[in-house]
Amino acid sequence: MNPSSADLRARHLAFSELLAPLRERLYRFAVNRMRDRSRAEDALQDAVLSAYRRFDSFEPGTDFRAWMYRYVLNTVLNYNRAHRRDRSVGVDPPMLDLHEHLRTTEAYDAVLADPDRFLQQCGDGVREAVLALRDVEQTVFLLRAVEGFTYREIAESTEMPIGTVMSHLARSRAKMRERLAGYAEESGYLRRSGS
Amino acid sequence: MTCAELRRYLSAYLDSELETTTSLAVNDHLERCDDCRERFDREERLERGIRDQLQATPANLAFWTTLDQVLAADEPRRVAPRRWVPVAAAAALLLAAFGGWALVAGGNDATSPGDARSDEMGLVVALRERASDMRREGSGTVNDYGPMDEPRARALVEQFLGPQSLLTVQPRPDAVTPHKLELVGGGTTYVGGVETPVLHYRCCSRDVCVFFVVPASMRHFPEALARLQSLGQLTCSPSPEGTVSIRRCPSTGNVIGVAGSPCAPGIGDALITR
Repeated sequence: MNPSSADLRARHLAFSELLAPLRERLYRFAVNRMRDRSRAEDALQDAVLSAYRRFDSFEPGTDFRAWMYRYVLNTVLNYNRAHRRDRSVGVDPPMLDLHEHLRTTEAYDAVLADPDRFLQQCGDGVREAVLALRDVEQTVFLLRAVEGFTYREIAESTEMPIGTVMSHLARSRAKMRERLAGYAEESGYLRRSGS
Repeated sequence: MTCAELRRYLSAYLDSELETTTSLAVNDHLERCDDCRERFDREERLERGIRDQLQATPANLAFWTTLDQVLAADEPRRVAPRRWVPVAAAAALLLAAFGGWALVAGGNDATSPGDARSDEMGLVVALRERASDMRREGSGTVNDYGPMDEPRARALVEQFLGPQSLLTVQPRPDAVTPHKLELVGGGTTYVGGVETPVLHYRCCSRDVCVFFVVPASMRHFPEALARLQSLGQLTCSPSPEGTVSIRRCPSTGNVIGVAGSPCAPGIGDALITR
């Protein structure tokens, strides 16, 4: 039997109320996970519609945020997979040799010497560094470092064991360090900072 | 706890995710070791700065306003798999028509011939790009689309249009060359939450036209009709290329359209008016 108009209105209201406090975060997450804002909006619209159509499967009293993020994560992932043109994105860099490792460490120390100043001069470097991570690392990093999820909440949203979440998070942070250090070297920040 | 051990735990400590005993040990070490404390402070500042930068994404109120309208118009239904290519042209056309967008022949449309992307991708991209255009314009949105077999397509058209001869029409007898129109499949798209049939015809073994029906019961029908009437004809870039004829069925008031390049002039009209 088809639901009545009143049922549909109630359903829409219930979904909208749960979604309202998450809007800004979901939007930000999608934009941070994708290079192109309009594509991020398309993906987010798809995700929200999918979630809405399956809202009956949401169990009241359980974590709506984790449930909602699952749709966004999967949709963004599918979009990124389907639209990826730059095949180099998300590919792990080759292992650093000792010399490079020392240089990277030195550059990262320069970054840490004055994090605020580095970030001021970094421009889009941070966002590029995030986008250069592998999909799963981007997701875990953004959920933790930007959205403030706990490890357990990340595990629920991504449907991964906590140990796996921690591994991805550690790897993503290590890569972020490397990339920010690389940016400090390439952009001349290292020379300017006198390191 | 040594300095090396502390570095191993630093990330989890920053995240407040260490178990109590280890967390206390880290606290203890940080109180005693100036180097590690300084390192921790800087890592924390860097992490905070990264968070601030990535959180500084301007909100898009228009996006949510439009999505609210889409949700309000949406009804729970099964989402069909997306894989039927010709529907893309019609769905994109519907989007274009109802958003007031004319597709320009030979443009860089996502589904234009020669595009290296897969058919499925072309379909998805075409719809998403049109949806984006429409969101920017603040107009209505086509929410979904999906494949449909011929019997279902016929049933839907009959449901909307009544038992007419539209589905069995043949080209005008006075056409210079005899042409054979064949209904080869169809799909559905949603305009303002209303399921809208889209049919795919083939003429002389070529994909020549996509036939679509916009029911008069549709939520935004008056605005859509006014817009269509003001346009008269559109030029359609996605294959099949050619003009789009739009008519109103006299008996039901539904809008009926044919997009594509008929093999000979008049075939589209014949399909519509018979």
